[in-house]
Amino acid sequence: MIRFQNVTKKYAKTVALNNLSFEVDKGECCVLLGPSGCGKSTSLKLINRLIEPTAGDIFVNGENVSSVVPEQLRRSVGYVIQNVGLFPHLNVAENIATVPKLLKWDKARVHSRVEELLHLFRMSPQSYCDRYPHQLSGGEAQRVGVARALAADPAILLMDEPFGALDPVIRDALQAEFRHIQQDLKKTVVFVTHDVDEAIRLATKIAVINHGEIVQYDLVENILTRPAHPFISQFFGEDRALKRLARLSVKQFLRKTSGEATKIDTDSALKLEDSGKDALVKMIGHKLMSVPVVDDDSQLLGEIHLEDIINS
Amino acid sequence: MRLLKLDKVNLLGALFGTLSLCFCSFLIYRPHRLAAGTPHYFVDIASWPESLWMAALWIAAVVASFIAREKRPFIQLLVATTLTLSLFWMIGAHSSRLFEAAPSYARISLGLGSWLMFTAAFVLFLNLLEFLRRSPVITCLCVVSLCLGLTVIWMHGHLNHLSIVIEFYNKKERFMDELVAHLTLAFSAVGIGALLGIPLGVLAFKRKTLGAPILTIFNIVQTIPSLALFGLLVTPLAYLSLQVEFLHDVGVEGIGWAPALIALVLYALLPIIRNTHAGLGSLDKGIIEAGVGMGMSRLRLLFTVELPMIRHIILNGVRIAAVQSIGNTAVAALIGAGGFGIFIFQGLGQAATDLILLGTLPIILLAVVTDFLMQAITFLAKAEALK
Ligand SMILES: Nc1ncnc2c1ncn2[C@@H]1O[C@H](COP(=O)(O)OP(=O)(O)O)[C@@H](O)[C@H]1O
Ligand SMILES: [Mg+2]
Repeated sequence: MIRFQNVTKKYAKTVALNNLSFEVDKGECCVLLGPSGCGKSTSLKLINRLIEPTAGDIFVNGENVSSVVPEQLRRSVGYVIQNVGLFPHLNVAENIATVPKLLKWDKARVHSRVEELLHLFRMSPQSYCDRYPHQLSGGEAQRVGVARALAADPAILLMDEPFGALDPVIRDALQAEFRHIQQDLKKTVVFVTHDVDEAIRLATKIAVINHGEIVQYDLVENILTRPAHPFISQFFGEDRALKRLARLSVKQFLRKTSGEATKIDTDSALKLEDSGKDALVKMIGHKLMSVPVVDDDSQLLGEIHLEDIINS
Repeated sequence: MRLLKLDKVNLLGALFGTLSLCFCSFLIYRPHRLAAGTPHYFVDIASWPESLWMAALWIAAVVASFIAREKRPFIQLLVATTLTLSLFWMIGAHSSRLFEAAPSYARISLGLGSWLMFTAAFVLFLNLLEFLRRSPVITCLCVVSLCLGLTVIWMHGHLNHLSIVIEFYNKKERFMDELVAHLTLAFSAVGIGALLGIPLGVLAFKRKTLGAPILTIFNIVQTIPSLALFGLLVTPLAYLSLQVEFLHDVGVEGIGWAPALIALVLYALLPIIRNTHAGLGSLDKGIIEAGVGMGMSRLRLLFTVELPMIRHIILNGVRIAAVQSIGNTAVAALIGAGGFGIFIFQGLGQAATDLILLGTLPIILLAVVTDFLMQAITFLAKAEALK
């Protein structure tokens, strides 16, 4: 869906990107991860032609972007930036309607689309449509920012540290919400962040970038288990094994009990939606080598054993 | 303790007014137009209830300065309105009383104290815009009653024995003509200035190579004294008028409205260009990037995002240009463009103070009113979200 082919971007003194090649498939969430100044934003802006490459080509849907009129291209690609960039003189509804209006949708269609998007982000149209950006909390503003990018239902969404300026609790909530929405919408997303946890949480694939070059581009699982370069081990930290566990569901480690159903009631029990990391926390907290897993009615489903986790 | 938050400017004005009431002449009496004047002090000519009333009002103004204007804005406003009306009333009453006992060619004019008290009362009104924001209804009521009161005092003929009013009635027709001339000249200059200045400001911002020269040129223009600029334009325009028949036919000449208008437009341009330029520069880069990133064309971005977001800054430039233009138009009378400057220069020639005042007072009044109205418009134009 998006393909970088030997892309280089040079500024007067710096080489921002050096011979970058990678490909993002349809429906994937590709996270560009790396320290500040490594060239993440530059890569993103090359896709919607906010920046032109010094060398190389970028293809979207098999079409070289340099052959598409920039305005046309940008209207078909959603774009979300860190400091939100909502227009402060326009209310929420008008902000969201920006691209549909550029595409000359009729009023009724714009209106129903705005309501649909606000519902998607669980914001009631009655109370939010007429608000101005300064009347929104940081989290609400960023939701509107994402809604605005999704307004014309683009197949591609570019997000540049969209949750970077939010406090941790709100960021967590928005990440969860975004994951949820992404599962339904299946957009092709290129997501820029310098936050390792965020990358692990949201990515299908991660491209780790350093000094304008891709150090490793792979599925999250592979990056965590088989880092290709000392830089990656260092960047992801010693606790990367824990981070990986946080992505795995207890279902993966479950040893099912056979026999008749038993009801158990202990606070060492895990639920099915818990992660491997949660299992480890329970084991340490309760000084156990194995913990039970129960369903919503406290019926015993099976057990998780420490050795399975360690060997995973 | 917040109640005692001091409004220093207001206090200064109020103290100033109180002192002027007590120690400066209120009215000046001249047996005839060219005679030396005798000063009359308020305390000498006013009855004791009148003195008490005026003193009480000034003291109320002093006290009002100590009341936080966030909490009781209308107290200051109420005092200022009552004070202004009372002042006019007292001036009318006592000038009439003095006049009755005098020959018909005697002249009564305002003393230093009266002028100072007007100035002080004006200071009390300086917070008007803030009042308007905090309690719009009361502020509008006060302004309306002030205007009504002044109209009643005027219509009643209460002020008709003041020499400046006599001068006004002597020159009434001429006064109206010059008023129209003054307003037309000043405001067409600002209008043309805005039509040219906003695009020039945008151009100066978008094309950095053009920006520096444009701003430099108009900065230099601004430093040329108005009289010199009028003078500079006389010769080329006279020449053009002789060469180009069309220009001659529409009334362009070396003197008159043409050079005046051109010079006034040149002056009006700088504040408008500068504010447009600075306003565009003050916009958040993220907002612009978001607009471009969503596929807005340059023009669309300019008209739907950039200009609407800075319209209050541009209007502020227009306000500065307008006030400045009203003042500069006074000088335009010297090259035959008409306006209130006529009275000023006639008065200077004849050493007739009242005639000079007949030119200056309306200019000051026009400038103050324009300034206030433009500030109110600017405030309203400021997008809801940016307030
Ligand atoms: N307009 C520019 N002019 C010069 N250098 C730039 C410009 N934009 C970015 N750079 C440089 O390019 C490099 C990559 O920038 P960027 O892509 O913004 O990094 P990040 O990964 O933090 O998003 C940095 O070293 C930055 O200083
Ligand atoms: Mg960046």
